[in-house]
Amino acid sequence: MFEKIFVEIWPWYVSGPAVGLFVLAFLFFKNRPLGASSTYQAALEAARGSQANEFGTGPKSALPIDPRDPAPRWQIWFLVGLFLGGALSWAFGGRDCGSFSLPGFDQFFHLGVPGTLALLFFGGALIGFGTRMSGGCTSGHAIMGISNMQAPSLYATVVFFAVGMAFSFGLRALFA
Amino acid sequence: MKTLRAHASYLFWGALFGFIISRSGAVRFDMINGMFLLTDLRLYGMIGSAIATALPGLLIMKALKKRNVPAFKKIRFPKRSLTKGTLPGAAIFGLGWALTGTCPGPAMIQLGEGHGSALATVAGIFLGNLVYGLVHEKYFDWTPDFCS
Repeated sequence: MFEKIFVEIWPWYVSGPAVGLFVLAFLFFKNRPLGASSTYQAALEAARGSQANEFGTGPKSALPIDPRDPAPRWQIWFLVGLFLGGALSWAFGGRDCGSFSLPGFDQFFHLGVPGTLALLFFGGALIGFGTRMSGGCTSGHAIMGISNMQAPSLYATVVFFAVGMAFSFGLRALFA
Repeated sequence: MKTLRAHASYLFWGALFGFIISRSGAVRFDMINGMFLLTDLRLYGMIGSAIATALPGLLIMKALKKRNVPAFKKIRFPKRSLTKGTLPGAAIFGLGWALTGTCPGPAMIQLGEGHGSALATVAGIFLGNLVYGLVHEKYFDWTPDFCS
C-alpha cells in the first residue's frame, strides 16, 4: 500500500478525481480558483513592490488585487507550497525523484548538461511568456476554466494541446 | 502578523496540490511527451477525469449559491474573457510545454522533487513572464485577463 501511494505513479482514475476534488475544496474553503501560471507573476509583482491600487507608494500591480483581500499575495505561498509538495514526494521515495534530469528527457533529446539547461531555459521562457499572454495554463484554463464552463479556456486548451502535439511530432523527427 | 497568518495556509494548499500532481505523473517529461505523441494516454484520462469531477461539482456549488445557501453565498466563479492574447499565448505555451514536458505548476514541483535541471525551467518561466509584462505595456492595447 505504501508503495502504491508514495512510490508508484497513481492510476489516472485516482489522480484525476483527486485533482477535481482539490479544485472544489480550494474554491469552497479558500474561495480561490486554481491557477499556477499567475503565481509566478504574483512573485514578480511582489519583488517589484507593486501595490494593490494607485494609492500605494510603489508601482501599480498588473495582476489585479482586491485591497480588502486578507491574503493578497497568496499565490507566492502557493508556489512555495508546490515546491514542498514535490519535496514531500521525493522524501517518501517517489519513483525517479532526485535525478538531475527529468525522467525520459535525455533519452529523447540526447543533449549534454549545457544543452539541456539551455533548452529548458528557452522552453521555460516560452511557457512564462505564453501563459501570461493567454491568462492561464493547464491548471487555470484546462482544469479550472473548462470545469467552470468558460469558453475562452476551452479554446485556449484546444490550442495549446494541438500546438504541443504538432511540435512534439516535429521534435521526435528531429531528435529521436 | 495577521497577513502572515492569512497567507500561511496557502503553503499547505500548494503542497497538497504539488503532491497530488507529483504522484499523478503530470510532472514527468516521458509522460507529457507520450501524451503528445499518443503513446501514453494516461494523462488524458487524468485531465479528463479531473474535469469530470470538478465540472459537476462546480455546477452543484453554483446551484447552492443561487439558492442563497450561506456557505456558498460568497464563492466567486471567475468569468474569463477572450482577449487578443488568449489564443496566441496558448500557442506559445504549447511550444514550451512540448519542449520541456512541463507546465508552470510542475516546473516548481520538479524542483522540489530534486530535479536540478528544472531550475533552468523555473528561471525561464520567470523571465518569460517578466518580458511579457514589458512587451504588453509597450506594444499591446488590450486589457489582460487573469485566472484569479
